[in-house]
Amino acid sequence: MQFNPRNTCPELFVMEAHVRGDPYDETVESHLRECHSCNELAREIKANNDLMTEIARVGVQNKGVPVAGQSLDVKSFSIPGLRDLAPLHQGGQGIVFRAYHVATRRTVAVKVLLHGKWATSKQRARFIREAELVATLRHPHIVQLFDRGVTPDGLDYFIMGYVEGVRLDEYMAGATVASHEIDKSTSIRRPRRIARLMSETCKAVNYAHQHGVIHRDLKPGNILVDADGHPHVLDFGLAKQFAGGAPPEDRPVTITGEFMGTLLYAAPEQVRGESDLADIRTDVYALGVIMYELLAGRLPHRDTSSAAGLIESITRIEPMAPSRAAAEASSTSVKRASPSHKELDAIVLKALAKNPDQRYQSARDFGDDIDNFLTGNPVTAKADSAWYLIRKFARRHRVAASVSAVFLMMIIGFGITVSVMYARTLRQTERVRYIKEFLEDMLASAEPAAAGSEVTVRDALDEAAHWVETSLVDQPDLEASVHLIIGNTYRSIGVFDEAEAHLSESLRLRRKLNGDEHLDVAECLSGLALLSRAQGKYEEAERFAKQALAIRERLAGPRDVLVGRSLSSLGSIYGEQGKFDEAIDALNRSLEIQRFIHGERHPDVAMMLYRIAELESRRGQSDRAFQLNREALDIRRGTLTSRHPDLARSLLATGRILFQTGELVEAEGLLREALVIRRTNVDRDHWSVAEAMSALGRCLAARRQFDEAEQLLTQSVQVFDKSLSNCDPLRVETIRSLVGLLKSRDELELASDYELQIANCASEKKVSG
Amino acid sequence: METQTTSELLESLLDGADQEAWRRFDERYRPILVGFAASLGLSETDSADIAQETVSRFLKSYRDGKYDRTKGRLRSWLIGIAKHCIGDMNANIRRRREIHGLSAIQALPDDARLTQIWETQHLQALIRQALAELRRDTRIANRTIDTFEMLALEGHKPAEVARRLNVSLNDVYLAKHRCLKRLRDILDQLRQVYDLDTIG
Repeated sequence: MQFNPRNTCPELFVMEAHVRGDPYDETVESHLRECHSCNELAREIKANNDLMTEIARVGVQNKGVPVAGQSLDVKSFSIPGLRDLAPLHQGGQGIVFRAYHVATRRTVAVKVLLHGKWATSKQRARFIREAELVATLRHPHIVQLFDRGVTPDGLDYFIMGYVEGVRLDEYMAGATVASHEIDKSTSIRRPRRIARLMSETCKAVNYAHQHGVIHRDLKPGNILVDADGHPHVLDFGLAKQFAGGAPPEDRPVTITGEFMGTLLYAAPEQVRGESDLADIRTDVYALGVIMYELLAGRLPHRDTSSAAGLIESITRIEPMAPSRAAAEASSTSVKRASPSHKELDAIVLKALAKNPDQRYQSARDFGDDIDNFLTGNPVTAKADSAWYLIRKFARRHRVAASVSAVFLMMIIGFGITVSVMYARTLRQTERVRYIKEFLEDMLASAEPAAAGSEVTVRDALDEAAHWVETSLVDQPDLEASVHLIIGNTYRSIGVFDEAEAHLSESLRLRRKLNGDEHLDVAECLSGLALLSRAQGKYEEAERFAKQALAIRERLAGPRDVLVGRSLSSLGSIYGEQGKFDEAIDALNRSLEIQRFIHGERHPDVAMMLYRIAELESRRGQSDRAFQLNREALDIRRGTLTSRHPDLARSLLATGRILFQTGELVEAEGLLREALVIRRTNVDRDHWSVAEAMSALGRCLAARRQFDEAEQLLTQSVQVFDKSLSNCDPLRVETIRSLVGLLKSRDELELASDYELQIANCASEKKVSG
Repeated sequence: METQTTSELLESLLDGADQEAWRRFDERYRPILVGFAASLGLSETDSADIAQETVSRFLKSYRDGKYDRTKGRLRSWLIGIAKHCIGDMNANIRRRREIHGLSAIQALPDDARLTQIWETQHLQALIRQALAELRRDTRIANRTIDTFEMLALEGHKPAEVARRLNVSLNDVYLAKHRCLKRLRDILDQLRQVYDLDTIG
C-alpha cells in the first residue's frame, strides 16, 4: 500500500497512475470517495492529460517558439577566425560586413542573418544542406560561398567572396558609370553593353540551375558589377530559403518596403501564389525585369504606387516595349525604334511572358538569344508567336486523338509538316526542342491508361516511325530525338521489338553526334534500361541504368531531378534481381533528392519510403520496414485524400507488419481502413479488394473473431479464384489461414477440400523446383 | 499577452492606415495558414506562398466590404480564400501535367475535413503561443518548464525525464501538473482573444 487512505492524500504520481487507471488501486478509489480536494485534483489531471494528448495530436514540437525582435550590436560583433569587421550594407535579411579571413589571408564578405532561430530542426537541416550545395558552385560570375557557421549568439552567418564593385541598382542609377553608360544625346542606354552584361548574368544563373540551385530572388541588389563591367551574382540559395521558406513567425510585415522590393522582380506565378510553378523560369522572368530596367531606365510595371497596382501590372498588364518606354522617359521626342532595338524588345518581352511556358525555358536559352543579338544571328524570340499558335493547335486536337485513328494521323501529318517547315527557320538546338515538344504533345495520349486508345496509338506510332525514316535522314539530331520518343512510346504500350530498334538507333545517333558524355545519351540509356526491365532482362537493364546515372551525376550534378530518376529506376532493377542492399542504397539516395526537391512531406517522398520499406521487408528487416511504412503512411495521411489508393497501400503494408508482430488491435484498424478505401475505388471482385479482405481476415482470426474472419477469407478466396493463378502465393497464404480456421471450428470436410488445393500447389512447386 | 480580440482587430483593419493592426492580423493568422496549406500536402515554400496570398486577398476583400462578420466565421472565410489560392495553383499544375501526359493532382478534401485541418492548425498555433507565454511566466522556474517540455514536447517517459534531470518522479509529475494547469489558463485566455467562441 502506498499511503494510508484514511488520513493522507496520495502523492501526485499515485494520483496520476490512478487517473490513467494503471494500476487500478482500490485504496485510492476509497480515499477519493471521501476527499473532495483529491477528486478535484483527479479532474485536473484528467484535463491536463487531455491537453497533453491534444499537444501530441496537433504535433507541436520543441523549439517551436520563435525568438522575436532580435537585433545586433554591430560594434561589439565578432566571429572567430575573422577580424577587422566593417559593416558594408544592412538589409532586411541581415548585415553584410567586409572582413579579413585570418586563415586564408584574404578579404571576405560576411553576411549575418538577423532572422531569429529556426522553427524546426528539419527546416534548419534543409537550410544547411542548401548552403552546402551552394558552396559547391564555382563560377566566375557567381559570388562564391566559402563557409557558414553560427555566431555565439546563435545567428547564422555566411562567409563569401568579396567583390570590389557596385550593386546593379547603383550602377543603373548611374552614380559610378553613367558617363560611359548612357548616351546623353538620345537618353537611350547603350544596348550592346547591357546585352553583354545580361548575357554573362544569364550564363551564371544557368550554371547554378544546372547544379540544382534556383535563386528565386534575383534583383539588382543581388548583382554586383565590377570595375570592368562584369556581373557577380550574390546570395544564391539563401534567397530561396528566406524569400519563401523561412518560418512564417519570423517574417516581416507584408506589403511594406521590403516585400514591395522583392515583388518588383517577382514573376506572375509567384505573385499569384502559384508557387508550385516557381522554377528556373521564375529566375528567367526576374532576369527579364532587370534587363528591361537597364534598357528602359524604368521598371516594366505600369503601376508601382501600391501593392495592388503592382500585382495587377505583374499578372495582367503587358509591358510596353523597352525601347518605347526609354523614349517616352527621355525628354527628347519619341524616336522610331531601330531594328536592333526591336530585337532586344522581343528578347526582353519573351523573358517577361506572363505564362512561364511562353518564356525562355532556361537562363541559357535567354542568354543564347542575347548572344544571337550580339552576333547578328536571328533571335528566336521574334519567331516565337508563330510556334505558339502551332503548338496550341496540336494540343487542342490531341484531345480528339483517341476518337479516330484517321483523324489522329491527319493531325500528326499536318503537325509534322507544319512544324518541320517552321523548324527549318530555326537554329539546330531550338529546332530539336520544338519538334520534340510537338511529338510529346501528340503522343502524350499513348499512355495505355487512356481508355481504348491502344490501337490508335500504335497506328500513330507506326506513322511517325515511317515519317522519321523518310524525312529526317539529313537531320541526325532531330532524328535521334524522334527515335527516342517513338521508342519510349512503343515500350509503354508493350511493343518491345519496335521499341528496342528505335531506342538503339537513337543511342547510336546520339553518341555519334554528342560523344558518350551527354545528357541526351543518358536519356537514351535510361529508355533502354526501362525497356530491358520490362522485358525481364535485368542485368542488361542494370548496365544501362548505371551508365545513365553516371553521366547524369557528372553533368547534371548530384542533386538533380534526373539523378533522382535514374536512382529510382536502378533501385527497382536491383530489387527485381533480389539485390536488396544495392536497391535500398539507390532508393535512399533518390529519397534524399526527393526530399531536397519537395521537402519532407510530399507524396513522392512517401512513395520512395514505401518502396524502401517493401525492400526492407523482403530482406527480413521488418522493424525497419515498419518504421518506414509508418513514416510513409503518416505523410500520405497528411497529403493525400482519404480515399487515395496509395494511402490504402500504406495502410495495408503497415497493418500487415503490425499483425505479424502481434499488435492485433491496431492492425485491425488499419486493415479495415484499407479495405474500405479499396472497396470504394475498385470493383468488389477486384483482386486488390480480396487482398485487403484476406489480410483483415487473418488478423481477425488471430483476434478470435472467427465468424467475420471466415467470411472474409472465404470471399477473398472466391475472388482470387477468378483473378489469380491457383498457386499464387497470396491465394495459397489465404487458403492456408482459412484451413486453420475451419479446422479449429471443426469444419473438417471443408477444410480438407481447401487443403487439397494447397497440397497440389506445394507438389507443383516441388516438381517445378 | 496580447489582449486585443480578433473582433477589435478586424475593426482596426478597416482603417487602411493602421499598419499595426495589419501586422498583428498577419502575425496571428499567417502561421495557421502556413500549417493549413502544409497539411494539405503543399511544400514548405508553397505553403508560405499560399499563406501570403491568402492574407493579401483577405485584406483586399475585407476592405472592399465583402466579409460580413455577422454572417460567417472568419475561419470559413479564410479557408474559402485559401481554397481558391490553392485551386488556382492546382489548375496550373494540372495544366502542366496534362500536357506531359501525367496524371492530374489530387482534389482538395471536403469542407468538413478542411475545417478540421484548420482547427488542428489553429490549436497548434495557440499552443505554440501559450508555450511561449508559459516561458515568460515568472512564477514558474525555467527548470520546471524544461522538465515539462522534455515530457510533453519531446515525448520522453516520466521515469526517463526524472533520470536525465536527476529529479524525483514526483517532481516530474509536479512540473507536468503545474505547467499544464497554467497552459490551460493561458489557452482559455487566448481562445477569448481569438474570439474562438464567436467569430474566430
